Amino acid sequence: MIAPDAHHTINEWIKKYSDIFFTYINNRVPDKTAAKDILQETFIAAWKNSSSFKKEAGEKTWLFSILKNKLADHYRTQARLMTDFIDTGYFFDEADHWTPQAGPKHWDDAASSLNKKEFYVVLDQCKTKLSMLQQLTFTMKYIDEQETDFICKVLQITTSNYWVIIHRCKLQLRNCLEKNWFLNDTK
Amino acid sequence: MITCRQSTEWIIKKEHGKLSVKENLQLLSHLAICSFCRLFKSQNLLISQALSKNESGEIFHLTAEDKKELFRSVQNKIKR
Repeated sequence: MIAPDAHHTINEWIKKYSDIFFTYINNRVPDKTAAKDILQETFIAAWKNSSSFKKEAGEKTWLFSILKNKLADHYRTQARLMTDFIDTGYFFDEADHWTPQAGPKHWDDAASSLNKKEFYVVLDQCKTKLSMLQQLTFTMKYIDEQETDFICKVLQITTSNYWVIIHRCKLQLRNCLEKNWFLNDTK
Repeated sequence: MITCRQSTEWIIKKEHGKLSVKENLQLLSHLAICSFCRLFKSQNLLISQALSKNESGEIFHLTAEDKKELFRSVQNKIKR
């Protein structure tokens, strides 16, 4: 049996924070099983390091910082398993100018799309078409809003590789959104 | 003259403040004559806005069973 205070504390944490934390993780790690593992790891690490908890910081902030470390660990492990291939042949011709089929078309009502729920559904679908490494780089940059140096360190990629990945992601996303949203009559 | 491949990469770098003065001048002269890249520039910005707004604010709820399971696993790992 574990000590009754551990029993109580962990129960309280789960009651108070598991939904918020799970949502936070799930926005970054769409795989539910992996997300649950990260949540579990967070509470375990928190219990083992409860001596590092300072009351002034607030319990939630303290737990959040542990959660962010666990997420970074997850990114690191994932990055080690990934490779990326760069093929922009569809977008550019031999002279590296836009091909007619991939060249950007005019978007009507572009800005108002940002207020439509359905737009984000399409955006999410488009994101799933990116490679894992691209998704991870993207998440760290646009959702976690991390600095370039930090992202490169965690993912173990060079700065120039990083820009190639972001560039490739944007080309793909733009193309996917254009085809499935902006030029799609059902929007 | 820079290529569209180069131009689109620099448009993204510029958005994040990572473009040199010289590169910026080259980019601007490319944009002056390339309507595809001008479209790309404004659409790229829109996509960035969409991406950072993307957190829907929706809460995922763990089921009661999930929470019990979570509690059990945490407890087991701590005991060891």
